[in-house]
Amino acid sequence: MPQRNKALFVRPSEDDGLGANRYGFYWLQPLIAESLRRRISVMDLHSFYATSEHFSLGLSEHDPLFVFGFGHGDGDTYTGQNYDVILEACQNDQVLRGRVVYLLSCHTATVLGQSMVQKGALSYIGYQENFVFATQDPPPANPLSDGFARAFFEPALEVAYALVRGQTTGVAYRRSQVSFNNWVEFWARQPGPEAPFLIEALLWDKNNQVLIGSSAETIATPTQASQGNLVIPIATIIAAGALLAL
Amino acid sequence: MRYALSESDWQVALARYKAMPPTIKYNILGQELDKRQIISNVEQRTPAGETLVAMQKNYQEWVARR
Repeated sequence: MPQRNKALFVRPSEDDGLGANRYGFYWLQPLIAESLRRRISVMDLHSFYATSEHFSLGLSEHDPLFVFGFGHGDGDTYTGQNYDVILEACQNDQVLRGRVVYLLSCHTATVLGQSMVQKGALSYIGYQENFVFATQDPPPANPLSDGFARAFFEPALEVAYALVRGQTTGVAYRRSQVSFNNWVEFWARQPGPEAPFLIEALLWDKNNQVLIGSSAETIATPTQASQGNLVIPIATIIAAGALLAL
Repeated sequence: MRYALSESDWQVALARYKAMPPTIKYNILGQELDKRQIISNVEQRTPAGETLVAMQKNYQEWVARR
């Protein structure tokens, strides 16, 4: 039975030649740090660990209630490093039975999200269309300092932040939608020529984000953030590659 | 075509993206598109171009509602 206070994160890296994955890889790091502060036991399948083989192993060994995948997708598949197919509708999505799933990926709401909920996933949150985000051109060396990308990753990741803080899937979804709105309003007040192009993509993502299944699920026991663990061992996670239990 | 896009939608979007500053790129997961590539996708009416035109149409409707 899937375990509360356990999460599995999948985040392919830029090593696979897809520049977009570089951003997701970096932007998930603070989320993993926050999960650890909230005493969530995290399995971090990053870069070359973001494969179907490690995903299957992670589910069976770690048995997390919460599964969060970043990466390329289409209607019925979600992929990891080098387009390795990690989830496919009606092929292996039954492994998500009893779990809460968030896929920050294109199109998976149209088939895969519905299919996994029909097979017993408690809740799925994802996108009906291409998930689009903007970046500065040229991009900064550190994706976390890209002010354009921030407007997309903060609202998109709010789903997961709310869940690891003990809020329900319904609240997590609504908080993400509100955050998208707030960023739209922020950019609507900016005079720069980029603003309308940021707004069009933010509206697109917000309108295509959906929750399928239960809006009442929680994946974590609400706790105060651990004050004694402010230096989060991200480097340790990356070096260790896979399981880091807290 | 996945979206109900008219010829006018394509032309409006093309004009808008030609006015896009070169300081911004779009990432559609798996694809990084700079201004030149965005315009090319719209001109060639690729699947990514369809998404871009649909986004632009959404935006124009949002502006009209405000």
